[in-house]
Amino acid sequence: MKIISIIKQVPDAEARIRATASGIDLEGVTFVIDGMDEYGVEQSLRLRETGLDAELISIALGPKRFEEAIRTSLAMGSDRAIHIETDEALDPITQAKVLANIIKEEGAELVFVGGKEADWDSAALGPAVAEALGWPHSDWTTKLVVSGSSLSVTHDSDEGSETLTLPLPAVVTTQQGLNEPRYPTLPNIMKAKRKELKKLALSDVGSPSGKTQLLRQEIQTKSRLNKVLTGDAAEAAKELARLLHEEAKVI
Amino acid sequence: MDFSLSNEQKLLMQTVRRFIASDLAPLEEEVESEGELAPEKAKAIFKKSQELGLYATNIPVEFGGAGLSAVDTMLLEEQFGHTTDILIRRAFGNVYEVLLKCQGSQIERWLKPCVTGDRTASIAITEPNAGSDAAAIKTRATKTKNGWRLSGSKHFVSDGLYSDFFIVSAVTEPTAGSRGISLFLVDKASPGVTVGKDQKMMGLRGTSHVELFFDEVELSQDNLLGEEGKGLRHILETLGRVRLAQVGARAVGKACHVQSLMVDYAQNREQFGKTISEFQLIQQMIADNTIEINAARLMVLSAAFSIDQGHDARDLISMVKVHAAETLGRVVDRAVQVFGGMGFCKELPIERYYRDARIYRIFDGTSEIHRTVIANSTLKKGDALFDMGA
Ligand SMILES: Cc1cc2nc3c(=O)[nH]c(=O)nc-3n(C[C@H](O)[C@H](O)[C@H](O)COP(=O)(O)OP(=O)(O)OC[C@H]3O[C@@H](n4cnc5c(N)ncnc54)[C@H](O)[C@@H]3O)c2cc1C
Repeated sequence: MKIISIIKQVPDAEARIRATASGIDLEGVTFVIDGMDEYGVEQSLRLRETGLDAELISIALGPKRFEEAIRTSLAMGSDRAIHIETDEALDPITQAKVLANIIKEEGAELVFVGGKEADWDSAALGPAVAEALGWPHSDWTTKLVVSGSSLSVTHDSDEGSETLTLPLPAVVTTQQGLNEPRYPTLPNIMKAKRKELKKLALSDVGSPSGKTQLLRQEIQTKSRLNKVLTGDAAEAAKELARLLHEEAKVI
Repeated sequence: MDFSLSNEQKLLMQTVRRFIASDLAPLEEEVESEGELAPEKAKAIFKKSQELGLYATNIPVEFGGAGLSAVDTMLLEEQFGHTTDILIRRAFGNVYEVLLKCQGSQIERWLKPCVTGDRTASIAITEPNAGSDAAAIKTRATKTKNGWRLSGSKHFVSDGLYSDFFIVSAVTEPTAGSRGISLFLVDKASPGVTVGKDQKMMGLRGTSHVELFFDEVELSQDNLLGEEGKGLRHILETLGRVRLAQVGARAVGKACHVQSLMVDYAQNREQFGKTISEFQLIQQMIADNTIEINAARLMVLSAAFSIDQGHDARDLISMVKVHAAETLGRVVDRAVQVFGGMGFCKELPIERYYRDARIYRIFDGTSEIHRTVIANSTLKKGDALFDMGA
């Protein structure tokens, strides 16, 4: 069986991020493999260690620097990697289409995607990959067992957690609690140097065009309006509804 | 000249850094207050580090080590510097490279068990009356029918309580001066070996430093390490790399650790309505630390590169020994200053870093001894020692 882990490289959680007029300034920032993606790599390693006959492939879509994150996954124990190198900022739906093509080409049966990207805070990539492939999907997965051609997963839902059985092939998005990712060991770091890292350009995968465009970036701030509504309850409620509708535009 | 790090080097450093932060750093305060690292905790960090392949990385692959180049060793050792002496010893090992002088059956008995962590060795050269002048030792080994008989005493033997054998320097030919000294591998359990008191130190809590007494200890020919009469030469040849790693690189790592805390504190501590990092006098200390740390690291790595090229790096190592140790001293001193009263107070680890740093200028050859070496070399070799174009 082929198992694919989609990986990404993101700024280290402790990095100091600055926003300038031209966007986020990443000069001098340390980058690491996205922690959420490590759960997927780790899980694929554990599946193999518990007897599953599997080839483990890491796939990344992003700029040249992603290579380091790819090497991390190889040093953790993945067998080989594919890097679709691009400096373009593609939205998750477009990324999913590109990735789905490669996943199909490889004939993989299980795909791990990090539950939420640490940089864009988006949780869309996993479901979008499943959608593009037309495969079942388990989100926010905390437990996973492969038996034959099906998958038993426990995942978080709004009501708590549920356990489901999915047929393979399937997409699983990971999260904290699934496992404790290992560090690359020194011998494996040395071995990773010799593992295959195949490079592709966006043009090799059909030059997809995104539906979104990146206009501006800024650091998110939270602030309070500190507005206190006075008057009796009925009137205050009416005013609140009006403010939510007309000013905040949330209802 | 390529100063960039490879992916592998970055990964190695990250692995060590993560391991130290998650498994070693949380033990530091406990060691400081208890004065020792609990044996079960020592075992746990050893086991985990060994699984990561991080134990005895300096030893060649043929003897079970990782066979890292000198440059890679220094990159790791700098990271080791972020934690304390005792935790480094237990987690990453301290296999003296002079043990590579082991021959034949000695390899199985002394060298390999150190690499696997089954045995631990300390080095015993210094005596109460022979420190900087290592040739002035009185410990004597005399030839017997089957080997040697060892008598004398040593002190300041790092980790001596824990170690189960010692690399001991002894006079074998009193008339030959520095060429009459040999090295011996001495089991702690040998009859006639007594471990004296643990000599309490200003810092390095958790590591013992002991006196050793040898009373007519019977040794076989197999206990002689390397060649007879070449003891000091063997030490000189092999201790350089250890010195570069354990003093040079670790001092740089320690300085980085302290500087990071210091900068953080300066940016958060407010006085006179602003953070103290806005005061230029504080900024000067921040700048000087950053400048000196970077300079020291370049010196460490260039000496390591020179070793990897097969050159004799002894002069460079002496320069590093002085400069890195003194940089660390200045960095911790500034940190105490920037932290103000909290820098002196035991509620924060700054005062501990200050105490731990002081020995760097003393052990492994004092600053004065290494300056003397550098001066003599400069006087002898001239411009080549500082002028690249000469
Ligand atoms: C914590 C700790 C751990 C140690 N670990 C070990 C160990 O594991 N194994 C081991 O064998 N030893 C060990 N030592 C000993 C250490 O290497 C010596 O302390 C060091 O070499 C200095 O020797 P000394 O203390 O006898 O000082 P001395 O040699 O007496 O020096 C005293 C002062 O005189 C100066 N001086 C001496 N000679 C000259 C000169 N020619 N020119 C100018 N100035 C000079 C020195 O620089 C120093 O300032 C350890 C010491 C300590 C404190």
